[in-house]
Amino acid sequence: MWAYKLLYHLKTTVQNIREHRATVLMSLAAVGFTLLLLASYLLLLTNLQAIGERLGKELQIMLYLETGLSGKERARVQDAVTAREEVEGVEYCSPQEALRSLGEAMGEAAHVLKGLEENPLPPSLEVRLKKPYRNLEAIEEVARVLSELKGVADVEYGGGWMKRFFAFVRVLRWLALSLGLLLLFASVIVISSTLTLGFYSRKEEIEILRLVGATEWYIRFPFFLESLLQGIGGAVLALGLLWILFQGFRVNMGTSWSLFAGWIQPHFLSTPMTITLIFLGAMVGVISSLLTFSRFSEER
Amino acid sequence: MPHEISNMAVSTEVNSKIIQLFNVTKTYSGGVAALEDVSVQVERGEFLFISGSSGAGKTTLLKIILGVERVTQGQLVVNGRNVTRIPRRELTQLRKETGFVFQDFKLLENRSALENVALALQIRGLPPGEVRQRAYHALRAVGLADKRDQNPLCLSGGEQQRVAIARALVNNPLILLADEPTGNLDAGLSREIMDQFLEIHERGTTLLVATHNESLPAYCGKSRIVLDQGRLAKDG
Repeated sequence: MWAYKLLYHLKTTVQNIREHRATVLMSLAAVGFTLLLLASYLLLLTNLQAIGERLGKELQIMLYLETGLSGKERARVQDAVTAREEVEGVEYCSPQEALRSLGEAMGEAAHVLKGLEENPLPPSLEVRLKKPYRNLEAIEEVARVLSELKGVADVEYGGGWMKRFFAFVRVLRWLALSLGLLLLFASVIVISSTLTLGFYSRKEEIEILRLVGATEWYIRFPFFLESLLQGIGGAVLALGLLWILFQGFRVNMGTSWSLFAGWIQPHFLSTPMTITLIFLGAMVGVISSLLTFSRFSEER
Repeated sequence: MPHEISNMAVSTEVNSKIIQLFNVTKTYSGGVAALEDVSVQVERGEFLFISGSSGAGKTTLLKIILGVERVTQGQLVVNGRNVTRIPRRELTQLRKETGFVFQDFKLLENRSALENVALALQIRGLPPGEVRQRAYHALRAVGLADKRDQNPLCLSGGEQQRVAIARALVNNPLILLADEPTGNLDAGLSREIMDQFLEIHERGTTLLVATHNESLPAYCGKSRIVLDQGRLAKDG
C-alpha cells in the first residue's frame, strides 16, 4: 500500500514541478548560488588549512647551545632532548657546519663571510618532532620546556608567523560558520517561498484531499519531496559549478598558487565534505518544508 | 420521524442513529452564531433534507458533521465517534466513510473526470489498476463512463455534479453529505441529480442534503428539517 502511495506522491511531485517549472528553476538557481558561495568559501578555507598543516609539518625546533660547552655537556643536553616523548630525532649542527650552510644559502654573497675573524654562529641541535606533535600548540610547549634545559642559550621555531597564519585561518573558519548559517537561512527562505506558492496554487486540491480523508502527511509528502529535491539539487548544482570554476582556476592560476603555497597543489573539496554539503542541501529542504507546513496545517 | 431531541445522554455506541447532534452551538470568531442549540438525530439509511434560507446554518451543519468545523458547544456523534473531540487520525477515517458533494462541484480543472474520481481512491494507497477500474465504475454508475477522459471544464454543470457524486461514492461511504448540490443547475438537471440520490439511498446510504430549494424534498418524498438563523425551526 505504501509503495502505491509513494508512486502517487512521486507523480504529484513531478506534476507540481512541471506546473511551476519557472518558479522551481528560479528557486534552484537561488539555492545553488547561495550554496556555491558557501562551498567556495569552504574550498578556500580547506586549501589554506592544508597549507598550514603542510608548513606545520615542516616546523622544527632549533636549540642554540651556549658556546664553550664540553662534548660531555652537549651530549647530556642531546640525551635529555632525545628522551622526550614528543621528539622523533635530534641532529647536532656544529658552528662550522652552520657557517657552511649559511654560506651555501647566501650563494654569491657568501664572500662576506670570509672576512669574519671568528665564527659567530653557536652550536645548535635541530629537533624533529613526532607526527602527532607537529602542530603549533605542541611545538610551543616542547620549545618552552627545552629552553629551560641547562646549556641551552636560545630556542627558535618560527612560531610567530605560524601563529598569525593559524589565527587568520581560525578567523576564516568562524566567518565560514557565520556566513554558512546566514546563507543556509537564506536558502530556507527561498525554498519555503517556492513551497508557499505551491501550496497556494494547489489550495483547492489540498482542500479536496482533506475532505476525502487524506492525512496531513499524505498532503504534505509531495511538497516535502519537492523541497528535498530543491535542496539536494541546489547543492549538486553548487558543487558542479564550483568544480568547473576550480578547474578553471587550476589551469590559469595553478602555478601562482604553487608558488604561494609551496609545493601544495590546490585540491577540490574532499568526498566527506562534498557529502556534507549535499546533506546540508537536503537539510535545508527538510527545514524549509517543515517551516512551510506549520503555516498550512488544517485549522479546526 | 422525530429529529429533535433534548437532554439525551451522549452515547458513542454504534446504534440505529448514524448522526446525533446534542444541543450543538457553533459560534465563529467575532461572536457570529451559525448554529444555536441544535439537536438532531439521523437514522442509518435515512434521506433527510436540511432546508432554510441563505445564512440559516445549513453549510455549517454539514461542515461540523464532516469535521471541517469544530463544535463550540454541545456534542456530535457520527457513526459511533464523538466528533466533538475526535483525534486527527480518526477524523481522516471519518472522512473516508463520508462522501460530500458541494454546489461548486469542487473538481480539479487540470485533471480528467476519471482522475478527479481517482483522487479519493489514491489516498488509500490502492494499486493504480484498481483505482482506474473503480473510478471508471463510479463514473459509469452516474452515466458518465464515456466522458471519463474529459476535463471538467468541457462538461455541463449537471455532468460536473455527477462527477462530484461519483467521487463521493467511489469509496462506498456510509453517509453522503450534499451542500446545495443543485444550486448551479436548472430544474431538469436538478431532478436528474435527485434521481441519482434516490438511487444511492436505495442502496442503503444515509443522505443529508442541504438546500434552499423547497420543491426538492417534495419531489423526492423525503423528510426535512428547517433551519432559521442557526436554530431548528421545523422538524420532520
